[in-house]
Amino acid sequence: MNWINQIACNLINTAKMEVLILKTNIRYKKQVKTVAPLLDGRDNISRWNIDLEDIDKVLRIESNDIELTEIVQLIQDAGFHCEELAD
Amino acid sequence: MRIRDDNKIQAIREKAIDLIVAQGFDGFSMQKLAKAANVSPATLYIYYKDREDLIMQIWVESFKKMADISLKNFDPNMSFSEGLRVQWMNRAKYCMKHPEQMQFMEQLRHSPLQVKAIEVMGAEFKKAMRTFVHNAIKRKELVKLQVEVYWSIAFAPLYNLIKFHFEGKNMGGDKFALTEKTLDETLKLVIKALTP
Repeated sequence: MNWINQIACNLINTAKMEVLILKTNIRYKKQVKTVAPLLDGRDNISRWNIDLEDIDKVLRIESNDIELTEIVQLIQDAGFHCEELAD
Repeated sequence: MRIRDDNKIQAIREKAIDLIVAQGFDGFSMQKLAKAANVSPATLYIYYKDREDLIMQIWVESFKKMADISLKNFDPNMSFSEGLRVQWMNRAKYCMKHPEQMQFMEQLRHSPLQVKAIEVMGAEFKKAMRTFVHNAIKRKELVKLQVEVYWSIAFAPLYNLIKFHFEGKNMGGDKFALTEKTLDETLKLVIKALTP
């Protein structure tokens, strides 16, 4: 039964949660470390990760009520390229 | 706001398993999967954090399905021979119905992700199997063995026959197809070997 609850919770969470998918040029772990404090410090970001293995170096953000432009600005201010990964 | 689409997830999952079974883990990437599943990479990232997260989530789903089918009509308090029979038939049914999932799980077992896969293995399934074995030992229907030895006798013959079945031939290259009769005969020998 446990996993059923877990899936139910996940569904409820995903319903409230917005996922932002961005393309970046963040290529190394060291660079991830420089943007980490900027993203960790935000209450409206519940989880984020950068997939360094991927060609688009995808920054994935699970958030409540955060504007895409805000994130783009944040990452660009840190000196990296960042844009929405289009569908 | 993007909406979670379960049909889409199902299609992605199936395509991922097909790709991994056909080409292995090495060449498998989010980009490749997106192309094969006819979705954008952005869509994949809605549902999965990265390649590893995707593989592990698919593993969890496959394992759940296997555990569900395997526990159907099974009670850990069954007699050893009856319980093992139900396990054999259920597991064989799962493998026949979902050969690609079985193959995928087998591949994962031989990959570096194996350790993580064991961590997320269903507790309910593990508990049912453990209780079943303990009960059978207590009732003196099963010899007390090292768990690896027990598994190698109780289940490895089943999986090996299934492997021959999918290859369509045995170790010598002769044609082979698994039947219920063969399963029954083998199971009888297995139970004989494990009875004190």
